[in-house]
Amino acid sequence: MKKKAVWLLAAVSLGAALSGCARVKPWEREYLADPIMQFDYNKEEKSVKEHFLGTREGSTGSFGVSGGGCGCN
Amino acid sequence: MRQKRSLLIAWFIILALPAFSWGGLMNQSAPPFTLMDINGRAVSLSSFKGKVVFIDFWASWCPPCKVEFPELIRLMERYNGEDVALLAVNVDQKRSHAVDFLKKFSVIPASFHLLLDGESQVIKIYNASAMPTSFILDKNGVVRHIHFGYRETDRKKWIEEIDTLLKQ
Repeated sequence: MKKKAVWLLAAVSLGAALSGCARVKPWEREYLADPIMQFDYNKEEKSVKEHFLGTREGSTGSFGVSGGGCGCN
Repeated sequence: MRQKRSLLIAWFIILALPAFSWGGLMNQSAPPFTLMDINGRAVSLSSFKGKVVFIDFWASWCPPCKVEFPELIRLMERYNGEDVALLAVNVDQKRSHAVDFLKKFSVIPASFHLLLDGESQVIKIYNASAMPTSFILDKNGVVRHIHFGYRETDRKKWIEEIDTLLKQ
């Protein structure tokens, strides 16, 4: 009974996940190709954000930010 | 065990089906269409019978198309006065995007026809599987060559193909 429920849950989850998939035709990529869809659309803003985050978190890495957390470099 | 194997084979067949389902338009008559050009005039593919026709589907948002576009202009300059026509079918949803892009080009040869397919009706029929996609038609309107995307080496290929079709 329990096994059946697990399979049912897995099937429903898979169905839900697959229903979100859609094949986008090459000519339908206008909005996807918009520069605003890029994570680093605004390079200056991105660099400031990363520096700020690196300083606050006192961490390095993941963004390539260097420094010891003083925010001075 | 046998059932498992059958299931596995069936699964592979299902996965492989899309690769065989579309033979493409190669060596078939190009589907006819009529589209408005950038100046609002209706242009039909049928009016180019007797000419080698280069149909290129492009968009202003597509980086390789932007690289390809000046090459297409140069290509048409090369074939100026010959039986070659180029139909550059723009698939931008907004006409203004195409117009803004075209402002960069002061001179466009007469044999270079800028058509608008903002509703993507014609590109759907041609089933272009990349942006840009080009179809080269012989004088009888049969698709003889298809190019997906754009590479620097394409220009040389286009010329070879068009020259061969012009001789036929």
